[in-house]
Amino acid sequence: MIEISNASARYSGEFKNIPIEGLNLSVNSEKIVIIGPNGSGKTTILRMILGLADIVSGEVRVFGKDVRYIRNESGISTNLIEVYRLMGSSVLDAVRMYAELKGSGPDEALDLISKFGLEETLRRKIFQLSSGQQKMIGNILALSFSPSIVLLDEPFENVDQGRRIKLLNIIETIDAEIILNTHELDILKRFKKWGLYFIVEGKLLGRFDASNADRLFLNRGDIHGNLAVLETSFGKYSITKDSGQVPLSSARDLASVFEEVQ
Amino acid sequence: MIARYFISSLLKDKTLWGWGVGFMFMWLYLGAFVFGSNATSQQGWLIDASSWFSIIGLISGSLVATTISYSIYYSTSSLAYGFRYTKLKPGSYVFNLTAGASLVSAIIGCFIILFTIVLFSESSGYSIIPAMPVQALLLFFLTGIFMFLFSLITVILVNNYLGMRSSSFANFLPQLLSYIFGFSEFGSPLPPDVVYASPFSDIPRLMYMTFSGKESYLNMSDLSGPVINSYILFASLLIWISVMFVMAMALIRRIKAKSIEEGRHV
Repeated sequence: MIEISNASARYSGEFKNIPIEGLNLSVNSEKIVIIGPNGSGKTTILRMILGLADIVSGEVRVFGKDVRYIRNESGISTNLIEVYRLMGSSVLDAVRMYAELKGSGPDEALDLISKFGLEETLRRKIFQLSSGQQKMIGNILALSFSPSIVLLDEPFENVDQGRRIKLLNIIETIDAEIILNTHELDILKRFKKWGLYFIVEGKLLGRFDASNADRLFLNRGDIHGNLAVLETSFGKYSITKDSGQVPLSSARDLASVFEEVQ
Repeated sequence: MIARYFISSLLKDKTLWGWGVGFMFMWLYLGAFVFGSNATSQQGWLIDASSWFSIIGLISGSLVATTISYSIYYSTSSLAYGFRYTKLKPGSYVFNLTAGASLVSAIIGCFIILFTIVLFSESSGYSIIPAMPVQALLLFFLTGIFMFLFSLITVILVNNYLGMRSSSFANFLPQLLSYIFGFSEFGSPLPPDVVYASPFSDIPRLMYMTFSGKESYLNMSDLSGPVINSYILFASLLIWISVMFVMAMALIRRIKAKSIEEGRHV
């Protein structure tokens, strides 16, 4: 269970920017997808849950515990490859090490590596892999070791079509709570039973049902009878159901829907 | 036991072998054959070999430290995640990696000892054998422990409190200090109190003692000058290791994740 209450976060570092402000999100035994353009704050939400972003106000709780003080809760996993760079290991050593650290065995992950045809990566260090291979190894480590919560950041980015279909099947069937970030709208066709959120400039809109995604429209301005209003630096927009300016299902990603509405 | 993954990663690191062993071989070769020695006795050659051994031992240790610094620097997100969402405990991480670093340092130490024996024996025509080889090897163990703790503390301080631009400085600080303190033994020595207090002086002077069997001189270019007490050097090094261990255990719990992608923009 994940509970984010009025939380603001920034990346640690000299930029000191605050990409997320006053965020509220509750996920309890369900699967949700968060859709937003690149740079909208999707990854930061996952980093907040994982304890990788500085939470400057508000609270993030995982399994009922404040994420700042949580320790040794091995039921949560992610595909963010930066968390698997411990010791600069080879892929094979990383699989064995994280299996050990998760209190599990490496067989499940090794089987998935074989299933996805990634055996050639086993002897190479993670940083030596291509971005697509890194993404797939991250996905495999996230989906292995029996997690109860899986956080997936752009899991299909740089992944070829064949592997994408196999991966979709695993994500759909895995028995775990999932937060999946993507900028691709067309992926919603596969996630009909999932919760749906949109994020733009760090502002989260939702919850919608993914099964209704092809009935949602984006409109310029505050339209009467809207489901939600979004205020951005480039104007005010509203989401309506069954009628409106541009159907969300008409485009491949959210950024192009915004361009069309202009 | 995650130590085995760390040892495996270090032993497969070609850069560490290239610089920590290959480059050190080159310097010992230069010391034995190019710079040579004016000594006309076996004892004189042993003294010269011990001086080279002590400096090269320290520098190879600092190269291990630089490799470890990079490894820790790229692991900040992994550690912040690992302590929360895996069974990894901060104390276990420090224990395991300290053990791993000391073992790798000792393996490299075996090569440094062997190179010194072979090269200086070949160059001098005498049999140049370390007086206390076991103690020399143990000193490489201690150097590995010290260098790991020093790297860990430096990286966390720089990562958490000083910002991104200083990461290269943190990675190369052990080498910088090794060159400064190591070469200050010759010509213009530091005051005795500084020599005793600095671990970067303690290590080479103790290495000198284990190879030559004699106390080191304050000024290694003036063998008639005052000598340095090895017991105090050893006690100083142990105190440093103890203090740094306590610091490392406290700091590792506070490690902040640093996005490497963020660093690339700087």
